[in-house]
Amino acid sequence: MTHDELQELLGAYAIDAVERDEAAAVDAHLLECPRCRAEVAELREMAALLAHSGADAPDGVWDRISSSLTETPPPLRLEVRRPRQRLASIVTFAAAAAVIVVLAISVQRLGSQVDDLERGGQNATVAIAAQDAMTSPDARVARLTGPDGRVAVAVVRANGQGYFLGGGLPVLDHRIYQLWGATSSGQIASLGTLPGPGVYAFTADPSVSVVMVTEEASPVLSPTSAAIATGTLA
Amino acid sequence: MPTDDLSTASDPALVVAISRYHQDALAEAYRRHGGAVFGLARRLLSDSHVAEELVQEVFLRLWNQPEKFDPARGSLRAYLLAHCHSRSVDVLRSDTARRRREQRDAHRTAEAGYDIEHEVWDLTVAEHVRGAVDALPKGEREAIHLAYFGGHTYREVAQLLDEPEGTVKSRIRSGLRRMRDTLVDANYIAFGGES
Repeated sequence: MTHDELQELLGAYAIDAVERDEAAAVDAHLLECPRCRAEVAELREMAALLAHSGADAPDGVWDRISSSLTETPPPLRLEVRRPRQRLASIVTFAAAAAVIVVLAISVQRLGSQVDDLERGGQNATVAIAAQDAMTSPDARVARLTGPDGRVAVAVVRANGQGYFLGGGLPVLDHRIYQLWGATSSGQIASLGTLPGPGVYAFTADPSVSVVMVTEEASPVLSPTSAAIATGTLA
Repeated sequence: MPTDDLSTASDPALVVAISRYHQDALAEAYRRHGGAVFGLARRLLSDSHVAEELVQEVFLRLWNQPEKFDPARGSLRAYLLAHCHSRSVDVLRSDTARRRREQRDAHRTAEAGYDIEHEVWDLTVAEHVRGAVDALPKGEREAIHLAYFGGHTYREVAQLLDEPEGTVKSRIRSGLRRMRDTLVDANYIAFGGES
C-alpha cells in the first residue's frame, strides 16, 4: 500500500474497523511514520469522547480486580518491555535497545530546592547524609556532564542508598527532571522525578552503573528524550 | 506517592505509582475511568457480564503492564478505551451468532437514524461533542456509529449502508477529523505536535 492508501485507513484503524491484514500493514507503517502515529493518537482521543457513557464503574468488578492483584510486590520488578504492536514508543535514548527492562525502584524524594537546605529541616538532613556518602569508602560517585560541562553529582553507597546533588541544574518552567539508572547491559530504570534543582535521596539497584537526567513534561516510565547529563559511577 | 495525593494526581503520575505497586493508584484510575470503560464494553457487547470481565481485563493489564501506556501518545482514558474497544471487537468477531445478531440490530439502528449524541456522558462534554457530531454529514456520522459502536469493519459498514468500501473508509477518517477540528476551533481541546 502507498502512504496515501495507508493514511486513508487510519480512521478505520483507530477504531478497530479494519481487517487483520490491513491492521498489520498500518502497524508496520506506524513504526516509521511519526505523522501517522500522531494522527492515530488524535483519532483515538476523538473516539474516546464518543465513548463517554457517564456510567459509574461497577463496584463488584473492582472487588474482583483488587482481590487478584499481587499481595506483596517482589523486591525488584523485572518487566521485559517488548516492542509495541500498535504504537512504537519514541525513545531517543542511546541505550534503548529492542528490550528495555524497567526496574521499579522505590524512590524517596525529599525536597526540591536548594533554598530549603539553608532553612534546615528534611533537606538539611539529606544534604548532610549526601556529604557523608561522598566521603564514604564504599560509595561510587558519578559526575554527570552535559553539553555545558559538569552539572550534577550522583553518589551511591554499597547498600543502594544514593544521593543526587543537582543544585546547579537550571530551574525548569512547567517541566521536571527525571533521574535514571542504567546497567551495563542497557537496562534503564527510573530513579525518581526532580521538580527542580536540589539535593535528593534515592535508592538504586547495585547493578546500576550509569546515572542520567532527562527533562520531561511529566513522570514517564521510559525516557522520551536524550539525557541532558550523564555520568558513570566509579 | 502518599495516598492523600492520589485524588489530585495526574493520570500519568497515577500510572507511575501503579508501576510501583501502589494499589490505591489503580483504584483511583478505576474510579476515574472504570465507568467509561464498562459503558463502552456493555454498549458493544450488549452483555453486562462479559463487559465486566473485559473491564477487569483492561485494568489488570494496566496493573501488570503499566509501561504500555505512553503519556506522550495520548490520554489514559483514550488508551484504556482503545484497549477495551479492541478486546470487545475481538469478542464480537469470535462469536458469529452474536455477530449476526449485532449486524441485524446495528442495521436497524442505523436505519432508525440513531443519534450518536446519546452516547455522550455529561452535559458539559455532551454540549461540545454534540456540536461536533451535529456538524458531521449524515454519511460520516452513520459510518462512525456503525464501526465504533457496532464493532463492524468498514467493509461490513459499506455492505450495511450499501455504499462503496472506499467511501466508507474515507468517511470514518474524515468524520473523526472533522470532529477534532470542530472541537479545536471551539477551544474545547488542544493538540500539540505536528498534524
